[in-house]
Amino acid sequence: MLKRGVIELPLHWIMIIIIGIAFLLFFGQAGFKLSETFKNVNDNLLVLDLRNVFLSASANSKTSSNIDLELENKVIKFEGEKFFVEENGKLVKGSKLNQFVFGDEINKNRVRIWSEAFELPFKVVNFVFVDDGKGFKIVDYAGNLGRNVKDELEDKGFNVDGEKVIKIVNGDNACLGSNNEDVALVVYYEEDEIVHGNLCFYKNGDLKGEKEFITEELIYGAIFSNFEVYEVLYDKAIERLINVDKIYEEKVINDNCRVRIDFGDMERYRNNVDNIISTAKKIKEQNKDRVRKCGYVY
Amino acid sequence: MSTKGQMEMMETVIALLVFLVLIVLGLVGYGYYMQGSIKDLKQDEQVERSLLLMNYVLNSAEFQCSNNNIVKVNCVDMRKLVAFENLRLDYRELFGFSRIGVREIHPGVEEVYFYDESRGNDKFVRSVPVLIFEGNYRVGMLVVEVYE
Repeated sequence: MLKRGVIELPLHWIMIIIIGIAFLLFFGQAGFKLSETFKNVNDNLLVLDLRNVFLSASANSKTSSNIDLELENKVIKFEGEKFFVEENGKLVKGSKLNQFVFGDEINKNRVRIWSEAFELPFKVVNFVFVDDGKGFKIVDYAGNLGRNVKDELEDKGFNVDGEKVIKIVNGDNACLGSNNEDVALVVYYEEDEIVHGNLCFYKNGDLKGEKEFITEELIYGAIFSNFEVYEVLYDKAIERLINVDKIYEEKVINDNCRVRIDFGDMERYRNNVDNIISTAKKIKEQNKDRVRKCGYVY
Repeated sequence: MSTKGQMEMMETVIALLVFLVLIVLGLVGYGYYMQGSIKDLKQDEQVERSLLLMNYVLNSAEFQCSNNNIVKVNCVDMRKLVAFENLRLDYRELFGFSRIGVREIHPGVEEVYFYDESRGNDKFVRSVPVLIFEGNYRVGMLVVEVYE
């Protein structure tokens, strides 16, 4: 009797313990999963929000506005044509962008977004520039360009007494080591109908890289981003320029206007900024001549 | 006493079986729920992609109508669409498995797909009214079909 009792009692208890552990595991895991899901949903919403903001910004040009994000303690970093959301130095989410978004690092909730068309001479794409209020400081503006850039940034509502120091220098020069640790970018430019020149990117006084630019919009691209982002988006912009040029080449073949336009040459000149500029100038003049007979092509 | 012991043993086994059945039912239900969620996610992704493509086509220099760089909103240039067919392969990464075209509804009825990489039957279709320019303006729909 006693022996049987001793055996029966543990069986029930074992059942209760197994069921208890199973319930504890189930609810514990469910609770953990739920909190993970909430976090995941919030991160996804932030990424979706940003994608939508960039998408609608790139649909327009010449617009500038403030956008409020809910970053909490997250940081958004731009890298090439992608952006990443990080929390306490750990990667949370990332996404590829089909738009041309020039940004560096965002860690404040309020960001200012400005979009501007990149035209050479026809419209290629709308660029989007993002800053979270850290702002820029334009120095050494001996020529007109520095003044124009500063005025334009101020006009679009950006902080022009900020952290990132940009030197704009009239003249053709090679990038050297910076003797000023604060300088993040040096723009060497040549005065021309289509402004162009060389960009030198620095970090803590060390040269990070150099790249050419064509048009003022690409200077803004460099100001708002970093070398890695600029390099990727510059190449992508030239690629897009070539594609749009090919489309106009085909379009002109199919209409019956006799005025010649030199579309289709951009691909040959992809690595030669001077030739791209001279072709763009030629196309602009030819498009003007064409309007009297057959209307604008672009 | 032996009968009582056997009865209690039976009770334990039945309770265990009921518990197992409940767990299996729970798992099956959870499986169905997850399947539904995955399907919803796929649909959301298709919806988002269709919006993205629609936006891209309406706002890209490759398709837009323009006059001296002044862009006409919600207007696609038919001659550019025809020219784009030669560049189709360069845009595969961006457009993926989808079919994009314009359907003229006034004054004529014509359908031109300038990008066609369709696969299977599972698709999400989105369309929006647009002006189609080819010397003169016509009314039509821009149609984007996104495949799984």
